[in-house]
Amino acid sequence: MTRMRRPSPQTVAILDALAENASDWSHGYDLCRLLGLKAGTVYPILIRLADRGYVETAWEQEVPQGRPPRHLYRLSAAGAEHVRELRRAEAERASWRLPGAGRRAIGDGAIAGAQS
Amino acid sequence: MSTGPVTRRTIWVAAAAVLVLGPLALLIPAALGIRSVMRTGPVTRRTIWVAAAAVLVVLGAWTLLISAALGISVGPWRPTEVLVGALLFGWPHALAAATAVIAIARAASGADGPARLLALVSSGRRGHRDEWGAAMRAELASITGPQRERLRFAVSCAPIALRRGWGWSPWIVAVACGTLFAALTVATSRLSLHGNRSGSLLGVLFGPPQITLLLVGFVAAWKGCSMRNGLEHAVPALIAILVGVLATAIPEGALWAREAGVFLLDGDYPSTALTPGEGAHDALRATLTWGLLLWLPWPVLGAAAGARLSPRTTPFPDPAP
Repeated sequence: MTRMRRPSPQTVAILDALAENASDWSHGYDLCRLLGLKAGTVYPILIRLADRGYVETAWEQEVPQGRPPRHLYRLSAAGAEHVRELRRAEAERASWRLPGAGRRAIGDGAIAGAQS
Repeated sequence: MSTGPVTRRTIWVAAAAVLVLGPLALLIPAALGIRSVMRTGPVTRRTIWVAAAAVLVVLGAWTLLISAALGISVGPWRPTEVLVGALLFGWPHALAAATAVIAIARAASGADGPARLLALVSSGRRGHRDEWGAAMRAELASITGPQRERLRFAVSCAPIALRRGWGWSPWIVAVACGTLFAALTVATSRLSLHGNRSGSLLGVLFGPPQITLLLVGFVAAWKGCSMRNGLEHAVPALIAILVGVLATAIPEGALWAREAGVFLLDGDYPSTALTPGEGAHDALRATLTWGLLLWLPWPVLGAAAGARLSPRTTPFPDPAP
């Protein structure tokens, strides 16, 4: 089994957000607002995920008058598989920890911490 | 310049080097013809006035610099000689300043400050490489909230748009240029030291770096069809040449002081005995002033000319409203 490099919490958050709306397209600025991250954090991650084939990109087709079409993002099939692998790896890691030792859960967007 | 007085010979050699380079750069104003500049981008009369002001400021600075330098080392010079000197040495800087003003004005098109900032930093990309810049610009256009929010988005995106697309080629070119000039400095120094001992650094600092930077900027801009691509190659090349020359000229300057008792720059005899430390210091000072100062405009001029003469390509379609 190959060892998967653990992505940054911001990457996990973006994958998480895209996975929640797997069938819908998302906008860069909306992801920034949703996750409370700066554009300077979100865009490099989106670029990297797109380069790796985890995120599909497209341009908006129906554009309201007065503004240019926006760039759209959604999880690709490879991205969805990557998220599943991350979740499996996370679950495995969590099973090795003591209960209540702190666990970052991907998918439900929650951090189950020691306080819980 | 060596710590001894500035000799007439030094001035004439420098002037001749600049004059030799002049014909090469005559291509640039011709290529940039102001009317065509105004036709092809959002360059207004105001931009032309700002460019003209930049030319005057740069030439004024050179006039002050030359009169100060000559006043200190040679004594009173006639104003006409100072002005001729400022034109001879300063015209590449003046032309580069005007070119930079026009290029920035052309690239920074947008409805407001944040839009202009993002347009500027993401300009000069072609084809797929510009897609992410266009994505950020389109996203900014969709932000209709407070100006502060638009500015925050643009400022946050700026470093990414600026960095996006850097490949290995600028670094490869830079390493090649740095190595070449380090070798050239050592080779000419040793040949001259074992020959007529007339100094060798002047021949390395004047001419070869300017031509190299002009060519690197030109070829990269022409090949990449953008001034930005030219600058991305020529600026690292300038830094690498500086490092290469400094790394070799400083120990060679000390060696010349020890072996020959004269300056590496031009073989001048000092007024008092020259220590290796003074020889090294003179090589450092000459490279930073007469080298770096005169090299600065050439990446801009080469990149501008290359972009201007490159085959036109369509940038990534920036979706117009």
